[in-house]
Amino acid sequence: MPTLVGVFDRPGDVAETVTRLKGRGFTKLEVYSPAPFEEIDDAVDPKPSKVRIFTLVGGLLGVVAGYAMTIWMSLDWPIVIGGKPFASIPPYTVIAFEVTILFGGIFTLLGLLAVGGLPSIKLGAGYSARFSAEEFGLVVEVPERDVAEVDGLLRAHSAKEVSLVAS
Amino acid sequence: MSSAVVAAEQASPRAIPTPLLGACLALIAIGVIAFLAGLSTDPATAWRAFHVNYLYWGVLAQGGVAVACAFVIIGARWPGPARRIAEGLGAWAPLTLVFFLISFLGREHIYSPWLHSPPPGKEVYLNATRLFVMDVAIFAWLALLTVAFLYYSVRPTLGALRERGGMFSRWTAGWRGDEAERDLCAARCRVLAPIIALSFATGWTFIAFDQVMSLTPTWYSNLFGAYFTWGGFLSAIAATALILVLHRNAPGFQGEVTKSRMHDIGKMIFAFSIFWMYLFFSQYLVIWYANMPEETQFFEARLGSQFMVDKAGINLMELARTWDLKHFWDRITEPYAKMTLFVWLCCWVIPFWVLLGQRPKKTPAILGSVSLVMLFGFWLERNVLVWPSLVPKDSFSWLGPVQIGIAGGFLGAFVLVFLLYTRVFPSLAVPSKHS
Repeated sequence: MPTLVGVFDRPGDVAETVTRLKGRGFTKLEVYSPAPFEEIDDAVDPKPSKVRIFTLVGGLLGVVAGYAMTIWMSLDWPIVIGGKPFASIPPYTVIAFEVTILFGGIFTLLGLLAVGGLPSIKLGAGYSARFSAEEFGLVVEVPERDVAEVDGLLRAHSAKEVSLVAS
Repeated sequence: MSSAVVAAEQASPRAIPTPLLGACLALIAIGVIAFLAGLSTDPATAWRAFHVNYLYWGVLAQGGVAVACAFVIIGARWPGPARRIAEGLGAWAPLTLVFFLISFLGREHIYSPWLHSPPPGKEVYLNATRLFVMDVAIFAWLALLTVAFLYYSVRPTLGALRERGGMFSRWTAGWRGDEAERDLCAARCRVLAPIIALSFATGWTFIAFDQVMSLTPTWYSNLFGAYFTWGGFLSAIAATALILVLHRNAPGFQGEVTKSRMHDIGKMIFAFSIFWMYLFFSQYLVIWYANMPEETQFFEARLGSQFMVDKAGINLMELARTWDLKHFWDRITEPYAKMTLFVWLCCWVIPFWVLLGQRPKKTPAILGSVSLVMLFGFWLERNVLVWPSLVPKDSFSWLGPVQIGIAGGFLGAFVLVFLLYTRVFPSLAVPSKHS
């Protein structure tokens, strides 16, 4: 399918164009931005990020692992300390709490890599080094017959140049 | 905040809605009757209920000022009307001094565990004169700071009302023009805010030591003051969230109670309730570990001995038997223990699990309900901190027509003061257009 690249100067224009394109049914699009912009995020994918699922699962796994590890260890090698029972909940809560945070943090990082498709070695066809400097790139795949329409739409939304990179 | 946005914030005095005013006055009347009836039949109960309620609303109100100060200190741009609501809670704070003076009249009943026979070695600290002088000084200092802060926070919005005469012209004496007033008052608020934050934390720590912790005079915990004061700060945030949500369709607030503002204040409730539980646990853990009678007495009176002597843990079967829900619940038989667990449910378990997701924080009904549950939870918590020290055996000492009547009276009075401040006095200004 042909791929069009529009170059923009302002994030607001990119967000508006993305919303318009998605409204017309062109959903195979990619945005390159030199910095994070909330309005572009919301336009490209308004749903909350899936990374939070990883954090929740990691945290729950952590609290279970923290208690399981400490209780299993103290029952496996029983030593009476301070007259307390071998497996005591109050002190092991501290360890369970810490492991919750540790696993939650690690899972968040892994989730970030997995959901974001990182590390991304191969750059897309529409990428240009300008998009890491100060300009915004909007790359959209369109069927042959719609090229002219999308080209016009990009220009109508303040794209300062539009080029066809693959067909 | 840009200057153009602040310029739009102008005070607009309004009348108090009549039904609310009537309800508040009725509640106050019930409270006064309940208190007087209690004084003639059972003065100890009446004074103790008064003590609990004045502490609850006092620390909540001062917490509201501290929340507003926190916004000023960090230069928060998101709160919008939330800052004005938090300040409105603070209108009650100066009255705390008056209520303390009243409650001191009932000292025979409130400070009965130590008033005439303090534990040996603590006579220098635990005596009525020292308590009176120190706590009056703390409340007076906090009242002074609060009035100054509220004044400088509100003054720039009064420009348009200068011509009205009366109190408005007194408050705007020496008006230097909108721009200059805004800058000068903002600068004064920035100076006052950190002083208030520190005074709130230190002052209420000592109030908690003197008026709550001392009721079990042989027990002490350095963390107790911070724990108590933090509860006040957190309940002020919950009250701000609740009032914010209730105002979402009020005139002048359309479009101000945005999803992102609710999300932000929901995050504050969520994070700070975890910290509240953390403060409790960090003290509980060391006391559980050392297991010394002089330290465990306070927890035993509230949670029962089962939280101090852990019977579990010889093997996995026994551990499961101790902590499965049915056996666990069966063991909670001692006075006040179920009430304390209910406080945890209201102040930590429910806020944590309900506000964990993003959407519940942004849904007015859910955020408002959780805030209400928390406010109730903290009221119960203040009861559970005071009553078991004074009436150790009776789980329901805090409940009764006199106690509920007095609580209702305080609720009515607090809401009335809030309404007076935010409606008649022009603090709840036409909010800024800022997301």
